[in-house]
Amino acid sequence: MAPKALTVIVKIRSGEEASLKSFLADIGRHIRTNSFVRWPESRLVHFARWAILSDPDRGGSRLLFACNYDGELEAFLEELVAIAPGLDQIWGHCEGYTGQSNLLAFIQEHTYKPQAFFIAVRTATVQTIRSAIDLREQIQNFLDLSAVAQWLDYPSITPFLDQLAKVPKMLPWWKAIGQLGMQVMAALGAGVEAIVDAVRKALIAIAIFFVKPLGQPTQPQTLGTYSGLDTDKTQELEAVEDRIVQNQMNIITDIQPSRLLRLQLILLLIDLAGKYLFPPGELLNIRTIHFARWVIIDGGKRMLFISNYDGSWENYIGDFVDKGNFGLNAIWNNSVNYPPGGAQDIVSFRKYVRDHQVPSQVFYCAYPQATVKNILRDRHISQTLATDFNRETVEHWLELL
Amino acid sequence: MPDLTLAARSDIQGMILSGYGHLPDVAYQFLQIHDAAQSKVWLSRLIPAITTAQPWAIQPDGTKAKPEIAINLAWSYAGLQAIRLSPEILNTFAREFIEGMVTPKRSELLGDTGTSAPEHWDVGGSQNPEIHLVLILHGLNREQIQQYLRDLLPEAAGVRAIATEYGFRPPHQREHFGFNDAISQPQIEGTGDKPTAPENVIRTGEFILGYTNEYDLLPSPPTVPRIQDPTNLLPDLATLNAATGASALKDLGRHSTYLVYRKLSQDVAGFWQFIAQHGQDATGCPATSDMLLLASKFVGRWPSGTPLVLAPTQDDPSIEDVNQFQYMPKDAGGFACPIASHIRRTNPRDSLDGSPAESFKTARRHRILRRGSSYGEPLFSLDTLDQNTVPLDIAEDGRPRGLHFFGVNVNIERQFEFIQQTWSNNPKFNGLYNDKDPISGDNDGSGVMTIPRHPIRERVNHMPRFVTVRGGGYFFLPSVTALRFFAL
Repeated sequence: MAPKALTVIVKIRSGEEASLKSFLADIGRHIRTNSFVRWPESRLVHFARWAILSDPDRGGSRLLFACNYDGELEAFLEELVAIAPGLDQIWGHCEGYTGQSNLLAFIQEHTYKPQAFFIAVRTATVQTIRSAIDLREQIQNFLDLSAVAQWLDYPSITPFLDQLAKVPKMLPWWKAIGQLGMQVMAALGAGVEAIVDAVRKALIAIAIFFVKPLGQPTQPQTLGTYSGLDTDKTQELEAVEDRIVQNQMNIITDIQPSRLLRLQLILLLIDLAGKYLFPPGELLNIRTIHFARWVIIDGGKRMLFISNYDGSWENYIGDFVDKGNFGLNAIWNNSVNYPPGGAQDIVSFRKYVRDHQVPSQVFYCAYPQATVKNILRDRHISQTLATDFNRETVEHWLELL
Repeated sequence: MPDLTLAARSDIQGMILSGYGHLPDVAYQFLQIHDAAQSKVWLSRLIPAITTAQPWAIQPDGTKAKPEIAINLAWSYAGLQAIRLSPEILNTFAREFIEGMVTPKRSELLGDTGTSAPEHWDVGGSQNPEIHLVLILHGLNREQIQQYLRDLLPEAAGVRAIATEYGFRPPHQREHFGFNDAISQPQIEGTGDKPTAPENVIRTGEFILGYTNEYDLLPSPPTVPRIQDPTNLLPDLATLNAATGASALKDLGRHSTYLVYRKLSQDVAGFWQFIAQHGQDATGCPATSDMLLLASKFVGRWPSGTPLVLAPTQDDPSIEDVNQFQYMPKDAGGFACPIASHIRRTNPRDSLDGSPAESFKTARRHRILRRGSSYGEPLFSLDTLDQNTVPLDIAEDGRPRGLHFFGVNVNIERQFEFIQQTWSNNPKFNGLYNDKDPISGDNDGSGVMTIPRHPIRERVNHMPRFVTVRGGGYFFLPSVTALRFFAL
């Protein structure tokens, strides 16, 4: 079952924003060691964040809680309560919170459903990701043991492998038939896979054909100067970036009222493409996004974008511009003040992102050393090893030596 | 794009377009302005002496009349404040230039931490005097340069010297580890040079303000409100949209660029001792050929400059164009040139995600022109590294040596900082797990260097840092016109 996304937005009691912010920032600074939310004990959460959405124009500030977890909501909340004695202190600053006994109802009441949700690796749970990391590290360390490393060194292992490859594979006739049957099935499977792949690529091409015009810039460039970029805000955003391998992004934009329907259609398309068309780990050719979601909030007035990505902000923006620009334009050009030159107008686009970005006070990742590419590679390493692994057979073989 | 006009070339400072290869000695004179009025008088006298990119005259014998001294001048943000530019002008400079190289965040992303932290620097650091200007002199020898420095900096110049750094470019082009370091440079479009490879010709706007860049856009220049340029010295700010009419702004940036300085100390003994420790043959002795191969795997080229992609097992001096190659056709897995190696990450060419064309598009948006020099006595005879002689029993002599790195780029954040943060210092570069750049990365002993090999990879663990930062700063390298404006 694919991981889920939870997006909860609650109003902060008036006058309590500052104290909540400093409380959260303190948790964020000690993300793995604080006693309020003991994240290292979590077994279900991939990513989680709390972010204050300061918004004096719309009647006060709100608290965003966003998270990606395995399994059912009830089980996740149960875990959250168990590891987070500080929950009352966090949501206690918010309206409508009546304690952990009513947490499920409180969460459900304030949950927003994403219009589009992307998952890099749909079949990966926190447990499978962590165990694949662990397996790979153990294999690497084993290879580094000096005796092993020496034996594996070029001159000695190659003849051994050559010899092994030459051993004739003798099978009794019934097993040979069985193997032939499996080969036929595998070939059929490969054929079906090729067809599915071709259909998928065709569908992507069709989707791009329809979306591309919607993402066309209306003018080439709005020539700007650097003046106008809010330096203090940029520094505030930078301050919580690059702590671990992954980074967090929240972007809130105002939707042009006349474009709401168009936006919803695009998001539906992105959602479907992300679920069924793009290969694992890829969203619009970008291969650094773990989870991303677009959520329409405030009765269709605004859009919240939440993502967990690998590497620097600079690299993420570069990917947006170099690779995903028409898709991004097709989404965000329905927002107010989006650069008419689109993401290709990189100076204006960078400013647009920074202007609408909101820092997360708390940002947690269950595997802070793993990029999307690492996760896919780890999976390949451990799957290949595990596929034909049968403990009894291997142990029996070892006994013979 | 048509070639740069003569007028443009006479406005562009010469070091952007030329490395002054015929001038082996360099001095970097760091200055502080203490009297703004005096300094402006000094500056207006200095301007005619500034070396521009104007083509060198052809002599009767057909050779170019190359200058015997080249003088260039760059400004820090503090320097622009010191001559009291108005806030309306100052605020239009690039944010990273305004903030400077020494901020906690930048130190973090550039890897200027630990022994490389700005509090330990010789120049430009948090404990050093604030730099306002850097005067860069390329000349024939140290004495000649020093004579020029004395002439250029009279008593009443309004500026005082706060630090002087000297550098040199050895005839064999080798940096202190022993590798040819003068090969890969982007070619600037419009300079009229014969292109080596189309992928290596980079749009002018990546290196000079006022021209379109790799996004097909005009970079954002610093500007001056029209009323603050009463003598109409500066050109109008170009707008792509003619309908808006004349801009209310004048363009201070045209023909200018930004300059990144890094004083990089090289631990030559540490490097070769580490290589000797890991480049051992089956009997556990350091072996010359293993050491040479390992060091070359770190760099991605043989000491001569021949890339591993073209000569995977041993150096091949017969290869003429050592910068004409791609990774993906023959070496997608990094079995010749490791993905983690220095040159494959500081200029990844076709080897990033997606198709080679997509990769080149991205790679071309993060290029930098290098204009540096070496400092300090070589620890061993650098040009002997070709003949399969490696420095075996090399010992530290405690004397400083390294590289004055000067990088020319229009967008420090997207070019210099991106290369350092996202490519060199990023252990996750291009799908890797824990491999920083073995040469220019901010290694701390926790990372590895993975060398793909059949049947199984070689992994060098506990990678130390061989290059330490000892100084630096962000500078604005103004056009001659902008210099005149500063002198007003």
